[in-house]
Amino acid sequence: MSEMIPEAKLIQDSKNGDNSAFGKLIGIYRKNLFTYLLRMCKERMTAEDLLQETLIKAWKGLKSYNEQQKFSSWLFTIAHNVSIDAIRTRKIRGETPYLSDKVDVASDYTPHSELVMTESKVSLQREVENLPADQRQVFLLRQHSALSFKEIAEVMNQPLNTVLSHMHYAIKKLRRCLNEE
Amino acid sequence: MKSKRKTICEEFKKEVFLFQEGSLPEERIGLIEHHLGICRSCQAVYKDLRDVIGAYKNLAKEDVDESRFNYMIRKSTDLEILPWKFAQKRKSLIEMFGFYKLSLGGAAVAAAMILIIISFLSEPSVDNKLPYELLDWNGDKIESKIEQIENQIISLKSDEWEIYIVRKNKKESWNATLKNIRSQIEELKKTTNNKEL
Repeated sequence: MSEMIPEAKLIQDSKNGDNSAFGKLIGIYRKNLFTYLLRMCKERMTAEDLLQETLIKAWKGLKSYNEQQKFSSWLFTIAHNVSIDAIRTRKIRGETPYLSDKVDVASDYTPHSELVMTESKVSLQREVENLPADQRQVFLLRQHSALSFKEIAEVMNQPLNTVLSHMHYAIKKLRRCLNEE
Repeated sequence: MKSKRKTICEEFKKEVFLFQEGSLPEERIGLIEHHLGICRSCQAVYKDLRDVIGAYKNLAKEDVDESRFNYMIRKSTDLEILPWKFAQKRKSLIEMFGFYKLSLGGAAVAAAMILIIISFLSEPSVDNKLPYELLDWNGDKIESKIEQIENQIISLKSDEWEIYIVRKNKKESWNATLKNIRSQIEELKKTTNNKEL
């Protein structure tokens, strides 16, 4: 709740041309945004390019941003469109997915358990990146942005039932991956 | 009863996501909660959803370097500095498509442009085209030549029967006349073929 007030001020300052406020505003969503783009395009250099494009479009489009919509929803809609355009026009191929070796491991796990958990998380990440495009989009948008399923359906220009089906099959595949470990 | 429950289970498979995000209407929430209490299959579906989302949330989020991010913000807000963006994009293109493929693409574009230029150059030059006045004059010349040939043929024809018997015995002069007409026709053909209209 206390975060909402600074965000509204940051938005207003950014609209007035304060690029430092813009940096702080985007900084709130930076990790989520970059992770989303990276898992969409599977390649770090491309994800950075897409992030740059997203920031440019967000800065340019700030004047038309309507405060009634959640800022994160608006921002991720831009990011989603940028990534979809990139996939279509630049024909990003399914190269070897960039895999992070950073995993969160609780301190009370034994070394063997840590290793198993790390492999399991790497496997899950790989599985997410290998989901079919529609399922991956729905799953990632749901996990990283504040968009509801109804909003995701609008962004993807698909019926709500179709979006829910994509999510259903994504969960089924990812569940199978967890079961295999 | 079984078919009704099956329908609820099918609806649950989709509504579980709306239930989990809290966007189901109140009356539906009560039904879903009640169904979850009695249906093991749907309990398993709900558990799967929570397990997967829980496991995914435990994955570390990716991040970009602080200094790189600050640079991106500066570039986004200072739109005059666009050449950097294009230079970066060019680098990314090379990395994405590979040097050789990009070179091949560039060579194909260059070859297409050269072919287009050559096709423009190979069009007949102005010198080979006749202006309309000269075309008219040439037309008159050609017409008079055709008339000459026609007259020779007519004269041949008019003499045809009487002379035929005579000339039949004088093959040489007959052939010479025909040969002459033929060569005039050939010359006329060449003359008209050489000119662009």
